[in-house]
Amino acid sequence: MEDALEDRAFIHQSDVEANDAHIAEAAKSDPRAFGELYELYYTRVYRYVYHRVGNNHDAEDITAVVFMKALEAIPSYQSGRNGFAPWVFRITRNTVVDYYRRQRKQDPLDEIEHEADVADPVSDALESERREELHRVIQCLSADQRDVVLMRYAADLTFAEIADSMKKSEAAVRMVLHRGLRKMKAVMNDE
Amino acid sequence: MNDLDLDSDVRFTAQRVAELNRRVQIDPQHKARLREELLRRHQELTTNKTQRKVGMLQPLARLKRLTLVAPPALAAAFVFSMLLWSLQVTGHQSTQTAEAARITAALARTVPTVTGWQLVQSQQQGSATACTWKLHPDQRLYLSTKNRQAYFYSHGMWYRITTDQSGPSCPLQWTFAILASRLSHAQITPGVPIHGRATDKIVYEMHTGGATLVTTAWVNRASGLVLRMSRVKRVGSRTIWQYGASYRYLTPRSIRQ
Repeated sequence: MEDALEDRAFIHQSDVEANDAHIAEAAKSDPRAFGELYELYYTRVYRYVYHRVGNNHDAEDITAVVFMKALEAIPSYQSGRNGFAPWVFRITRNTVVDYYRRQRKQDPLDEIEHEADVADPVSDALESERREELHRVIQCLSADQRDVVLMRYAADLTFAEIADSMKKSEAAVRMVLHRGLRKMKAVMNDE
Repeated sequence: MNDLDLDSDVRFTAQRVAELNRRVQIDPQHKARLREELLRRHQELTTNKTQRKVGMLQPLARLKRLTLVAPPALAAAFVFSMLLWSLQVTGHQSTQTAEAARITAALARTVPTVTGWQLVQSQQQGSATACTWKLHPDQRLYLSTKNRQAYFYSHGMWYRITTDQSGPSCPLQWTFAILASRLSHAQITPGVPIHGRATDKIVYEMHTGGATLVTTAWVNRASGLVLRMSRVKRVGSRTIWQYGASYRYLTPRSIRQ
């Protein structure tokens, strides 16, 4: 398995906007351009979703649904000041909400079947550690704080992109992030 | 990422959270498969815009059948059923190597990836004996009660277990693999929980020369891993011998200890 440790390349905001907008427009008719968008956003969407749902199996499924929805809806995409990220992460957040709604109606048998995916003792042990540490602290956050923290650190969005996605001002997003980090710090007992 | 504008008291927390987030592992196979599916779908939509509304539900539905709805083992079974005949325990791989590689990638992701396990067998009648056998870290053994097959994965190649497997020095080393070939005649019922895991109990009997051999396996219902096995030889009501084995699946950490 590939370890997604790569850092986002340092790119000026204006370059991001230009690249994303240009590619997204082209993606309406050009599959290769959509493929480029996919490469740019897969990891970021996946990381966000993973930390929302807590397991890679559901994260993969939800990520697939996100990109399929994006593909179906891209003809109506209108490039904004902050590029493609806010748009695709609105889809991502809504898809995760749908997932939780579906979970409440889920047949218990499905849960047993999904257990097979974590029968790997190696991955299970390692994933459990990661999940437990981050989930423990994320659970203490409000919905907005959780979204901002994950979009910032899992999906690597800028404050402008987060603000656009959540329909908030940048100042409000920074405030939410600060409060979220303070709460996480208290839980994690950082010195 | 520029968090220099964060207060110093939370900057360390931010760095730690960022680091934890980055440790998420991504399966490149899933990413590649999804990309293929998306680009194929994009091509369909682009070339047939008038059918866009009708076609909208189909890729989502298909994706759901294979992923969201179908459990991982069923998804694996779907892949299995396509070219399983081509993988033999003797090691002769199908000439369709590209398809085999695709199956390998799918199976490696969906089946349990036990990297090491020990089998300790003790004979419960007469002199107590024990033998220990370890799989190589790159070897894995998987038994599915869903599609009634057993598979062995060794150094990048998948094998389907058949009854042609030769007997080992420890009789129960491979019995549970051969067991799979007899599942079509076996009785499968809910078993007792073992180590807190729900199990299926698989029983099959063989009658030979007036004796009856009864093999019982307790299989983790979720993963297909064999947790316990017993084998009894009886003549009438008299027990001639019986063996029992418990299977432990060790993580690399446990092995290193």
